[in-house]
Amino acid sequence: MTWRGVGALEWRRTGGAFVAVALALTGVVLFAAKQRPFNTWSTWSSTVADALEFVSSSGIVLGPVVATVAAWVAGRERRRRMGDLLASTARPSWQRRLATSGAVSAALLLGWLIQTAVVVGGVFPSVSYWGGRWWATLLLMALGMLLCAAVGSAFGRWVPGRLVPPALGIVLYVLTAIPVYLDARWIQLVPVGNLAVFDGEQLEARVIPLAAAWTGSLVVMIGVVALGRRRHWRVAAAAAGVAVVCAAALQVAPHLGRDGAPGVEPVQRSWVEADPAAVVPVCTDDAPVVCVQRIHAGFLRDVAPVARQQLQVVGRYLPVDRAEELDWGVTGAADVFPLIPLSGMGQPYRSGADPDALQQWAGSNLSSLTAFYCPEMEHTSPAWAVTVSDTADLLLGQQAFAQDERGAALAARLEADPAQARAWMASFLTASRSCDVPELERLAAW
Amino acid sequence: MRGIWLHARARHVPEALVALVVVVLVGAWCADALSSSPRFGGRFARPPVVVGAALAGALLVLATLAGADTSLERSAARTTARWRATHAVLAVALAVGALVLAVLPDPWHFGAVAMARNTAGFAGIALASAALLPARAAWAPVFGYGTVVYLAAPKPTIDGAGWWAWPTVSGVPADSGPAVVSALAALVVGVVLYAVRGPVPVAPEVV
Repeated sequence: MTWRGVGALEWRRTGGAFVAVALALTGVVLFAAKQRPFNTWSTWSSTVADALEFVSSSGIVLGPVVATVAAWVAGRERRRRMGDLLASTARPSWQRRLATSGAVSAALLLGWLIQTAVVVGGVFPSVSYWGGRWWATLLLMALGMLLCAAVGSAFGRWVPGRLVPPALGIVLYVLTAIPVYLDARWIQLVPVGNLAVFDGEQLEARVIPLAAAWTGSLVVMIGVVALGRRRHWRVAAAAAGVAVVCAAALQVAPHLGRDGAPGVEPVQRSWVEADPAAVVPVCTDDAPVVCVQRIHAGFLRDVAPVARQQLQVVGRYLPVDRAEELDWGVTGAADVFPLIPLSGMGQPYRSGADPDALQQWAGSNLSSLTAFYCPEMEHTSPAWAVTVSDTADLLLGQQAFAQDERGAALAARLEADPAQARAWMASFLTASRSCDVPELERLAAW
Repeated sequence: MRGIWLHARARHVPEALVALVVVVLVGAWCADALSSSPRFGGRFARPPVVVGAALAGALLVLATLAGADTSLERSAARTTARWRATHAVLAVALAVGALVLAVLPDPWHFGAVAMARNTAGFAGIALASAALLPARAAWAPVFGYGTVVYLAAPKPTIDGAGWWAWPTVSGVPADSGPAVVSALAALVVGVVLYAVRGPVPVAPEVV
């Protein structure tokens, strides 16, 4: 029988189609469950990076599930007492094992790829930029799933017991998820659920080959040992050596040359860097100009009217003539009205921004202009803070948070005198961002 | 007593007890580590433990529900519905009693109450599976349900989802009414099915 024939036979014997469809359906259910009306809020994004991050975080459970299914299939020969029968066939035993493990691994990988395609397909109508090195994220996740399948196949073959598959799944979950939750230093060596690449980010170039070699060498090592036992120990030893070297390098390389004290930034962030191409502004052709980041270009048509409306309000007090989406903490040019990031505003399988999310974003955007926090406000809100906050909110047409009478009166006076209002607002924004308390007290008593 | 010991040994009860102790110890460590992690809000960080450990406990209950040769067991004079019901109830009680020890502090917020409910519910599904599926495949429904619900359940659980997302609901009485009802219903159905039908008869298997 040809390899093709053997492969087709094993595909049928392992229930390959069923396994692939079941895993794909599981992934689709998880995806659907995160959308309204099944969830309290839609966490859906419009970018490939966020979609892949969703797939990666699902892998924390799907990886152990893949290992469980692989272990179940690998234990089949023992369960059905076929060992003696198959041992009498002409083919070498490793070929038979490879056919079985290969078929179930291919089925599981196919199922995982289908569910990944379903999730990424959800952002496709609004994708304007695929993100930097998205292929590397996908490759590392696929290798992680392959490793889970290899571990499952090895355990199913070696360890007898009808509850070995689910027990392996739970043990793998504990070994992968708990370190991730605890932010252990070595969590990036966990093959699933470890790639936290969000909007506007990409994997660091130096990490990709090391991570791929680490997971790939583990797949080879476990595969060779599981299939060939002691015969191919040199190959297994070489793969183990590569894995150890890569693991050591991954503990050091991502942290070299990074700012910030260890322990401040989550370990997962050590593999990630900003993607400069993702934040290139994409602007409207007509004035007043509204710009969004390239990854959110699909929202420009929906965001522009809202931003222009706000620009009109803000423009009464500040010399701004254009609006631009900026990352948190980034200060724009003097003539720019900053727009807060547009992440998480997508609609699955539809283009444009989610209307509810857009409305919420609009409120947050104006509030972010006037919101401030100073150490003096930690346990209590001083009267000057309440007054200036309410005044600024009322001037921008927002609802006053504290309903402070002095703030309302001050806002009314300033609205009657546009020149005074412009001077007050300019001073307020400078003082609130630098926590200049004497100046803020002066503004409250204006 | 000798009959009970033989029954327990045939059902791998000693091995399951040892494994249960391991699950309790690992669960207690995980619960403590997650609760004290600065990344999470104290004991609200324990859902992975009350789902994972309860699932493991239910699988250990399942391990004792059928011996190596279920057809032979069914021919024994003592394998009556009452005997099976007693076995099921004792196994679930033991698993619940042991596993709550892992999450005793602050029992309401993903603590002992949620652990007891989840263990009982998962064990109920395991008991029903043991009565309807061959022993070698009986783990699949409870394992599949546990994993899918753990990821798919809305967080925080929204109104109307508690009846199916019960493993992920906290133990606070105001939130967990439908969750407790669902879990107990699963347990009752499981015990009744297992007591009446017993493990599915299959040829002796090599495990």
